[in-house]
Amino acid sequence: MRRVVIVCPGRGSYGREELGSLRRLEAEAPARTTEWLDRADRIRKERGDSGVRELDALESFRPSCHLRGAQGSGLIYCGSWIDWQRIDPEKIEPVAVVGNSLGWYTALAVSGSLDFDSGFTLVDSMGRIQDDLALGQQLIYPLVGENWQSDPEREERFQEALQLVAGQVWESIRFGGFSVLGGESPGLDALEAHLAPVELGGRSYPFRLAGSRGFHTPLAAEVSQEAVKTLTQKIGWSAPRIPLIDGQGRVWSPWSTDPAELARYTLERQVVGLFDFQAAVRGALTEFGPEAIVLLGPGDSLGAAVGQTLIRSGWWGIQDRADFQSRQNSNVPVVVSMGRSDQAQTVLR
Amino acid sequence: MAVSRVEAVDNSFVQGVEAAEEADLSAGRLRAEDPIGPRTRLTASRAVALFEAQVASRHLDFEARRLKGKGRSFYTIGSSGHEGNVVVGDLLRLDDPVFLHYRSGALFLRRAWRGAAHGIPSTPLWDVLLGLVASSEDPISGGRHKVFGSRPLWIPPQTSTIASHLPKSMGAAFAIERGRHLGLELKVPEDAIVGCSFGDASLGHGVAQGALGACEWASRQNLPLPILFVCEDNGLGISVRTPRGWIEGNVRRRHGFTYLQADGTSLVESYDVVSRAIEICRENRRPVFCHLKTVRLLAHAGSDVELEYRDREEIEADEARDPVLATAVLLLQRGVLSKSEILDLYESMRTRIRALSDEVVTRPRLQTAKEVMDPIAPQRTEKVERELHRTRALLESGGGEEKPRHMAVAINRVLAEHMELYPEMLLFGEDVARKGGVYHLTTGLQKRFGSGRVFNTLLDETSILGLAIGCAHLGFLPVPEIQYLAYYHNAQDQIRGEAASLSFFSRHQFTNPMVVRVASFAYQKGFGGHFHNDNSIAALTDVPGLILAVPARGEDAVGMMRTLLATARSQGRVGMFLEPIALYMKKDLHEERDGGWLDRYPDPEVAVPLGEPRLYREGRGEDLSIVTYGNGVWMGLRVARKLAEEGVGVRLLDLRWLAPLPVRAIIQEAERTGRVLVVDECRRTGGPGERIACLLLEGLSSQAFRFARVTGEDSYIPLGPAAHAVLPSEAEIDQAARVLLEEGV
Repeated sequence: MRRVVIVCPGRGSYGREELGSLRRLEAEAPARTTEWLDRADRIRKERGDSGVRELDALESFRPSCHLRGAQGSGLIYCGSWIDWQRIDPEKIEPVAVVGNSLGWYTALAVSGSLDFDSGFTLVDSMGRIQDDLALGQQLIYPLVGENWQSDPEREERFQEALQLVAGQVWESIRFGGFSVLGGESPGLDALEAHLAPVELGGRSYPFRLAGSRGFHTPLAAEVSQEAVKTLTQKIGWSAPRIPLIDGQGRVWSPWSTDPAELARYTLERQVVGLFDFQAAVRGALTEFGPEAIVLLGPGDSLGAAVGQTLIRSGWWGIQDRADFQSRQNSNVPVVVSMGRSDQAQTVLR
Repeated sequence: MAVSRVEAVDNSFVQGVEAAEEADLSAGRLRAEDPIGPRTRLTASRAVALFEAQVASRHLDFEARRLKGKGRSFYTIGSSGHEGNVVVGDLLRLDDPVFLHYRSGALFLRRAWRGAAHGIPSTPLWDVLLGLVASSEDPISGGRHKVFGSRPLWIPPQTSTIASHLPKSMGAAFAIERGRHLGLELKVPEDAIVGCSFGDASLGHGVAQGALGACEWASRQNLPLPILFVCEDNGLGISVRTPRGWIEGNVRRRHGFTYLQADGTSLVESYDVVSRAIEICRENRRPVFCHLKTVRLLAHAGSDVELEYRDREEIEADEARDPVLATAVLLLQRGVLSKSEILDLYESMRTRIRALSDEVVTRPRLQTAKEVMDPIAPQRTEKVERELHRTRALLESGGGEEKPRHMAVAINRVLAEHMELYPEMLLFGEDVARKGGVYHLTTGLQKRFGSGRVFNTLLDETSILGLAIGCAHLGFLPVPEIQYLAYYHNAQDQIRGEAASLSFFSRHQFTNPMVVRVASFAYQKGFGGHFHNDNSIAALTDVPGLILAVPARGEDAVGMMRTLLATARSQGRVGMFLEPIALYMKKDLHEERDGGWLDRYPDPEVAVPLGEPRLYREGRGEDLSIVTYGNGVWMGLRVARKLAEEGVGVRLLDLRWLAPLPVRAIIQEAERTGRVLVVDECRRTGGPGERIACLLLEGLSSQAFRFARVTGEDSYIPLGPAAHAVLPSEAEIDQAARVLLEEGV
């Protein structure tokens, strides 16, 4: 039985390719799916919103719908949760759970700190509150090169550029080799003017993340206030059953976690402060010594970020992109993505 | 013993938990925020968090032994039995600097794990394992030491000299208060306190006693010292028992100290007592001594066979008082966790650490000398240049003709110059304040800069240097004075083992910049005997990274001190300024009243680069090189003048810097003249002359030059005129020069 870290993806992981995925999952594995989609649908319909099945079954992918917090968050949560249910507990032993940004809410549920309903209510409500109250946008920029290794010169110039817009733009997420920044248009424009354009993996950077807001920055202050007001009591918090590692790299243990403190972190610091996904993944490696990392779906959007984090630490002897790909192509890949059927097979029931 | 103590202690824990009384959890558990007992502030969830750190520390100790057995780890001194110190790791602030005992493992883990909630992502299990296997990735020392340390967590790494961190801890505490008093912003908040942990045996060390004494001395002067001493007392120093009552008796009587005692195997008692201790210290700004009674489990280290000197019954009695088991029992009795939860926690921590250990042995180690030595004293000359440039712009030029003065005046003035430039600079030592120093080098400085920055210390060089080290850690630029070179030796470990090695052991993450002034060498015309005329610097010359400066005259003293301070400030380096006493007041050179040894005060842009010597020439031609320093310069120039009058061309190289030694210049002298006469006022054995000879041999073919040395004898310096019998004289120098000149080249 392999000791693994479970990683839950964040916003944007339910994209065009994932439309209809919940329906496919339900057809393939109803025992793992139906109960949960029923619960999710009930919670949303009680509020007068369309259920997740309905959103998933739409004829075409609509960014204005599927990428909005109020709709997309629930889809991501369900996709991740169902993947979690599909995993064979005889094949892997989860030693820690990590989430990227929105994936933190999923991680709370996967770790057992929240039950499914509470987790869904949390992520769904946060989505709506963010749509209403979060300001600004996010911008993404790579700090690694084609080989996924750190580019110290670019990092230095990036820090200098960031200094110039201090107070207007903040680091929002440390996403493997990428930095995601949050700010309002003028600040982001000013920052862009100082960032050298970069081509990486066929994309041009920097670019603005569609449907994004200034998550994990002070621009989300009102979100936090509203969340604390409306959700603290509504959600039943408990200590996780599996250790959690948060966006500060802090470990929350099954035994010593104070649920009220976990709630405060989730609704306050996590909402307005940097989400250091890199520190979270690194924390999982260096605190728990897993044999592999399992990425829940929907989609397969975390592989690169996780690979880059491994490379930064030279973990498992992985020094660059070529090393990583060669490990992934071997008999024993170190990163198992549920979004890739060949990899997922190794952990499914 | 068939069963190893590791197995015994491990099994005892599990059996102890299984046999313990368990509260009925179905009747309800304590909630996270509930106090774990009636009169304590320790909450249930906090108690479990502390337990986790204790358990982790225990398993790391087991793992260190296991790794050593496989030849993968190099250190097995553990923290077992001392896990009660976890409360100190919980209760001190993350910016209260702590100087740690080598058994403060649980303290370190708890502090690190708290860090993550305060923006300092910490991976302490991994970091400790990296240290055990001496991996170059160990964040604090890069594999150079197995030590509890962390830059972001304000834990400067300690060396192994047992009590050697007590003086600097005192210095750091002093610095916090002095910074506040002077209105300076230091590296920690104004109300920070300093923690310092050590064992009971360590307290017997002279350095520890000296530090306690210095604290008391300060206290009797009403000087605030917010220092929390934590004595983790397990009753043993390897095989030597600490006498009962000794620690308490030693401390209780000290004026100004608050003495508190706690059973370090009781989590609640330790928590409450340490809480109070910290509150008192932070509030009163006075030394607090927290005496934590612990036990020692698993012997002194893996190699120590306790049965050689302890009865089995005694060992087992200590094992029965296992603090980690005591905490587990507490959690069971108070209804916080169940037996299966505790055992789950214990076993999963074991598995975790084992998995990490399997990974850590694959991490890289230091390979080459260059890699190892890199952080000793990194020097970026351009940064020193920049600092000099910055400060000279703030200085006013001499402005016209100034009267040339002797060296003592020049030094006094350059000190004042820098006290102006650097508000964080401090001058202290014995008698430096109102008296102005026994040679008046610091005359007028206290009056001008105030007693907050220029002050006397007690009569203890270890305390003086420890004070400097602690102050420097927090952002001061200390310029301590050692009254005589002879008195440096009793305290040399503070430089040799501590200050000079800090950058090495912390990968340059911590530095303690300073310039230590020492009144040095002999030739005081019969005054003072050996202890005022010491001519041995052997103890200084093999300290890696330490700068040794010997000015022979006023303008050099100024130029060199400017460089030393700029280097300290910009590079964090430690420099020693060895001032030849006999040249302090020297005015003339060749004849009475010629004023040949007086210098004008140098303009602001004059600074002597590190390692740059000074060349003097007498006569025409290049027949002889005299390579020397200090008093040898003055004597050598007089001899050179006489030889020049006879047609000999003499080059005299004043080395000025004994570390870094101007190697190139020395070799060039031999190349130019083919005749090198070293005048070395130190002893024949161990003086710099030996090194110079070796450098020449290494740098040139031995056929290419002739070499002679005039040195002091291998003797102590007697009182009175007999001193000259064992020191180089002009006559000897002259004689040796002539012999060399006679030899063909």
